[in-house]
Amino acid sequence: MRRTRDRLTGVLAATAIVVALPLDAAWAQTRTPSPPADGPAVTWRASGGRESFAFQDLAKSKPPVDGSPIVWRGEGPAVTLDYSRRRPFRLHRFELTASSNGDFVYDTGVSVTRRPDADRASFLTGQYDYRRYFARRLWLTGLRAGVGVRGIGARRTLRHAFGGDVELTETDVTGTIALVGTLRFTRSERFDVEAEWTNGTTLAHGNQHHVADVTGDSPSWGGGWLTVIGVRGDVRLRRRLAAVFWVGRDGEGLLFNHRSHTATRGRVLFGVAYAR
Amino acid sequence: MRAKRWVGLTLAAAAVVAVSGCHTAFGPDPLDHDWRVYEGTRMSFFVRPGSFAEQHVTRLSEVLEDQFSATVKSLGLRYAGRLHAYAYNSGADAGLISDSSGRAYPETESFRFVAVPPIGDNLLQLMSHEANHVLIIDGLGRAGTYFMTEGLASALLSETFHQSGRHFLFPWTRSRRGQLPRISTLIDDGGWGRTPSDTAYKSSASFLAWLIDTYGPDRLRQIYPLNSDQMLDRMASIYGRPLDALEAEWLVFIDNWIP
Repeated sequence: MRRTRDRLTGVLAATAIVVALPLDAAWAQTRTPSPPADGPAVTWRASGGRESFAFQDLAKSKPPVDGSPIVWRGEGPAVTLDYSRRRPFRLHRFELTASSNGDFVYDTGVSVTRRPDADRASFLTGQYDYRRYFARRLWLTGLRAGVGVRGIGARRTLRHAFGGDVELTETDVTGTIALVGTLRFTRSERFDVEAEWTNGTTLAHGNQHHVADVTGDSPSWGGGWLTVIGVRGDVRLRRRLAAVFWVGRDGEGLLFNHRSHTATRGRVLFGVAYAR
Repeated sequence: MRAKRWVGLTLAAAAVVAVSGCHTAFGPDPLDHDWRVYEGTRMSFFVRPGSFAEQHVTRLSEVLEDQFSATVKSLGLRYAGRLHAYAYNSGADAGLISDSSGRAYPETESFRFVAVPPIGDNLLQLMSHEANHVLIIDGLGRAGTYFMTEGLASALLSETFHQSGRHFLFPWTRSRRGQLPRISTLIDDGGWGRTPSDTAYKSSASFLAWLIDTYGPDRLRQIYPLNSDQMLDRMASIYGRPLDALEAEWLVFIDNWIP
């Protein structure tokens, strides 16, 4: 059911892009883009939506990776606030995202069983992007490639309730440095869409807090990797106001002493942008 | 001509994105759906339709239920979750190195193992060993050493349905009396890695089974989460005697053990 909903939102987002592209081309014929201003374009964006989270613990983290046959899956609200300063071929962006996942299930491959309400996964992520775009267009007017670097700091809490009032809470603080490749399509002021592909390495400190009849902590340092594939877009509504969307999926792995896991987080966010 | 080149380059880049990236390389493959589920009291048993495991799923479930009770009782665990056991037809089917392999995933309360004929000690102890990883780690948290993680999972094997616990471990230890690695070597994660795995697993399990029988589970629970250095330091204060003395005591017991 959740997979179907994920696919549906993906299809809706793709449809929106496909529909908007010809509209944008038509707009471009009737309106000349205004010349770039001397200073950078400063934009604030606020968006909200849904996040889906999936977790598998690993028994072997080297390829071929050996992951649990069961996926621990939840979903919940996500909000993002970002600030960007953009020149025609350069971008700085700061972004803060918070999300909280509940309604957890075990997806066993053939069935789905509900988990206790105490199962939670929450994330607070801050990131900075620096990006440069190539002046040469690709094969469409307005289509340009870009490259950049991204620094990400995140804190997550995963709470897993087992039968018998046993609770496992994992708190991880991570720092990631990543390279970003993008394709940006912006033929007019009305529509701006950008696809991103990000890969990075992570340094992490994690602690597993285990509560049963006795309480124990297992802190350790670890490392990991991150892949992000996403599409973000702005559709201008008024001179300073735009509707924005983000559809993306993060895949990551965190490897600690004696334990490791992979997780994916898919987000579909809609919101508004205000350009100063 | 130039446009064609860009189209080609873009398509190539898109293909690279689609098939590569860290997540593609380091993420697990999705599980196939060719499973039939048998629900037990405290477990769900997943078997391939028509497989050897499906023919014996009642027996396998009975052994697992017994192991669940035995492990929880031995360590005084509060854990009362639900296990998910996946029985594969072969090592190749499971993506494991052999037909005598299994893996455990405690955070998702699951494990998998290869179920090939006959339904004897090897199969039952393999299944129970993997189940014990889930029960112990979810009941006590993560152990600090491979010595404890792997040794305890075999040390707590119930012998209601097979003789792969103490009735195998203690005679095995006696038969290799002069070739056993030092316990201090096994406690050190580096030393564990340098010891042949069969020897490391069985020696650790034999020592820990004796330790629980002789000194009880409470002290074992104190050393359970310690890492290699901490365990070597604190064995003496927790057990009231140094590790060398405990090891000597264990070997005397092994020499005199009568089934």
